[in-house]
Amino acid sequence: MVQALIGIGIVYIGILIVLSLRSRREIKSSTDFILGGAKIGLILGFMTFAATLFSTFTLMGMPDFSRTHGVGAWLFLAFSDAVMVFFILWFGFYLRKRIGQQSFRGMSSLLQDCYQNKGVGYLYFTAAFLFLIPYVAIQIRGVAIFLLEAFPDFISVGFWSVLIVLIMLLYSELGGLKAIIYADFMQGTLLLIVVWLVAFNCLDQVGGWASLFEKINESNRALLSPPGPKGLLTPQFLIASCIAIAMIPVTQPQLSTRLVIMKNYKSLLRMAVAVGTFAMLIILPTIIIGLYGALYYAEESTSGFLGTVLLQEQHPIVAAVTIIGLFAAAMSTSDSQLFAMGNEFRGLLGASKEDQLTPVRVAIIVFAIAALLFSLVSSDELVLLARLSFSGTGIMGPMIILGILSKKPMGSFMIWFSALALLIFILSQLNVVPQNIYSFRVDLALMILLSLGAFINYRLKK
Amino acid sequence: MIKNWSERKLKSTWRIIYWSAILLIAVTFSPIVLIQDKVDPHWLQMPFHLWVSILNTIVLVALTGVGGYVFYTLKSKTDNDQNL
Repeated sequence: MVQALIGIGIVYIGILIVLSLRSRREIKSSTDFILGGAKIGLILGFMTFAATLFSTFTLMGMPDFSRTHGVGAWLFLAFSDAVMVFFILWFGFYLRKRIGQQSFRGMSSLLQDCYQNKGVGYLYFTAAFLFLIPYVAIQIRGVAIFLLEAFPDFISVGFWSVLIVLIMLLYSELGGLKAIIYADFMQGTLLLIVVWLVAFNCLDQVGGWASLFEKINESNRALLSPPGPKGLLTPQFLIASCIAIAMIPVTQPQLSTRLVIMKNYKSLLRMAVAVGTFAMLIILPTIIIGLYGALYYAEESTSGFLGTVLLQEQHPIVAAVTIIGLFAAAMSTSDSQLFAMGNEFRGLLGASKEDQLTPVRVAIIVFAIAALLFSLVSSDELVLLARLSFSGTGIMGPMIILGILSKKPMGSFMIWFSALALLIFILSQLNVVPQNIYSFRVDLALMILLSLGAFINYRLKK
Repeated sequence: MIKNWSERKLKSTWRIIYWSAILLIAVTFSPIVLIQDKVDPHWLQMPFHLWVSILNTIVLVALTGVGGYVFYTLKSKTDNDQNL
């Protein structure tokens, strides 16, 4: 496998260098660097959106999640993604309409304009920072534990993490967002090929599609329906997850940016349908791999299961492509997130400083270091950490939608209410306040209250 | 063909599409689909919950495709936004 990895790795790094240098030549302003020129067509737009959305947590987290919680994983992610793409139809239109022909300086700056209030920008930025850093950390952690499994006697997980962050920063600092979008294109294609190759291998080992479900039915029937053997996938968990995932393009700046930089609304609509289709194509094989894992590696650790199924049981070339694919996935998603945070920072700096790239570059490096530190202490439950990130940023959703839909400033009620909700959510995660309000999960209860608050605010101030 | 539809027809079609999507989402998260230990009837060898959720996802993505086209045509007629 090592020979194959070196060969494919050299080709991959060579392509990255070419793309990075090519993109670097096109950078003439901070908008070129941060927004990739801001005119992306259907194919690149679809691949960059999909690659940013489906990352390490899809290829590593979802098989592990399905292994533990069963087929309800489809509803948790694939159906929620379909809800998200339907929501993009509507939200994408109003977001683009609100921005109009102006230069996009991030959601923080846009919200400051919508509410005529500086504080809302800082609140959004704080939420994005607090909950995107763990999401970036998941990418780093995921690949690092996987590389440790592939090369157990080489270097520690910490060194792998540092190495990943260094390559990630070098690439993005050189080529800007356009380089990341090109890398996303490669990563999306690689991810789709790898995940199906592994899934077909799993089906072959287990004796086919029908046999997979028959054997699961005999060994652990609870995996074949929600809430799964551990009882996690309850209606409340699934509904709260669906709302949080549907809100991702609203609340996570790396995806909001991609809605804005599409060439036109028609391309955005086609991109939404393509992403929905891609979600189904990529999640189905992860469930196959997960159920296969439930049959043969139910008691293994996450890294042990993934190392065996994704590497040891594969042909050396497939194993090498898997490692490169995972690395590419982590790199493109993390870079996109760090860049989005950089753009938010640029927006908060104000118009007079927006063409100064140095503070943005420094901010990106600071965010990367924060993510690196978090990755060293985070757990291996990648999907649940990702969900925490979606829920945390999701708290800002009603406030953002209210600001974007309203034709005039809507006062400061929703800003204070969202700040309070964010605080309660953080405290609930730290177990300082209960994780349930009466019989409701705290994230679901907060989303319902915030949505009601935004609706009443709109009716009163309209 | 849809391009020639009147604004009224486009609006009502868009309403039908988004209410269908909302209904589909509500059904998917209702006890009709979320039933513990229900694996029958199987379809294409898949247990009940999996095939129903896959089918609902396909329908929702199809609604996004059709809805997107209708919404775009509607907004092209009613909105002067250059960003369209």
